[in-house]
Amino acid sequence: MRAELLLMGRRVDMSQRARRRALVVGIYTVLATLFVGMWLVDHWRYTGSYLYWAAMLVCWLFLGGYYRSGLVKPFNGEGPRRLDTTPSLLLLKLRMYPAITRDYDGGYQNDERELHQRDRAHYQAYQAITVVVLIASFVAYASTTGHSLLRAIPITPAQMFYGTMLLTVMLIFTLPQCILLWTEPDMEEEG
Amino acid sequence: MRTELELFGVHTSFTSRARRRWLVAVVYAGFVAYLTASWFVDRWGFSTMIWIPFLMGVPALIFARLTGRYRSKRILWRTKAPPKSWLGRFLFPEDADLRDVPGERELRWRDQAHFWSYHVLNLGILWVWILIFQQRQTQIHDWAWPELAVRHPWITDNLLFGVAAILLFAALTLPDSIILWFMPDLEEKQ
Repeated sequence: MRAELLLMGRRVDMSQRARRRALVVGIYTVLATLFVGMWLVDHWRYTGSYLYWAAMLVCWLFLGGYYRSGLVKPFNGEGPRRLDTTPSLLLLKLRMYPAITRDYDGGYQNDERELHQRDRAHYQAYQAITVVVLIASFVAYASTTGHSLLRAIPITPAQMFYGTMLLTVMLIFTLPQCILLWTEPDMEEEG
Repeated sequence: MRTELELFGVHTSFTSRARRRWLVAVVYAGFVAYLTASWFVDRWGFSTMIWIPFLMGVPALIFARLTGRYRSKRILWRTKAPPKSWLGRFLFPEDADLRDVPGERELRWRDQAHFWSYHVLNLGILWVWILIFQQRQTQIHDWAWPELAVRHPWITDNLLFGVAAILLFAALTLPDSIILWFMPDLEEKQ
């Protein structure tokens, strides 16, 4: 895991666990607000895809894991494909280019301990995702059979199923990284 | 991981990897065969899909029993063997030692299996979400621009329940299947 976050050209120290936890709480608060807000706007009809892109943006800017930027190193341990090329002018102007010089010497590779933590975080996240998939399957099952339990809720089963899947998509892209950020101790103590 | 399975009082050895792979292959082939057959019978309607929870639960229970994935939780929460349910007594008459703590190597296998399963599940969930999104987009087009509507009459509630069932089956069995498939022969270990 990286100790600092590169955001719009500025380095933010994230070596303290409290700061990382605040980031996780902030991210999920924003995503939850978006989730509820988009429901109020158009029942996720158009805006459903925006939630997916919001989760991707959060991964890219803060969390990492699926991207090379962010706090968590790439899960696959692969560095950028074109390290020797200069960043585009637009990225330079926006100060959004990755810190190549710092990470060039194997900064993307996970060591044995990090691999272990990565797998453990995925194990924990998997339990949560399974529960959400179970709920989604129940909703789909009840929608097919026309279960009386769903008739009492003012949302249609199709909307509920779509919402649950949307929630699953948001969680599946963010949960392992957030577990890592939440559970890792302060980095000073470690060193 | 357990070397044998007691099912209905019959002990079956699963020390050989080949046998474990056969079990995994038979379970998955059986599930796919049932889904295929039920699609042709009533397009995944109520009469065939009512059995899906049972068809998902039993293999998941057997796989989990073989890999012993819930042992550590039982040790954490209980000091002695829990009382057995009627179903537990029927399926597994002789209980194995619940205090058998998983070793570091077993935990490593478990975590790695979950890592790979997570990414397979990730792709599946994304695909299902895109499918539903397509369906909802059709509704929007129908309302706003009927002339542009791309119709997907094949995306029905039954189809969505079928793919949700496949996802749940994968979520319940995939990590255990990976362990059973890749764990080497247990004799070789000793």
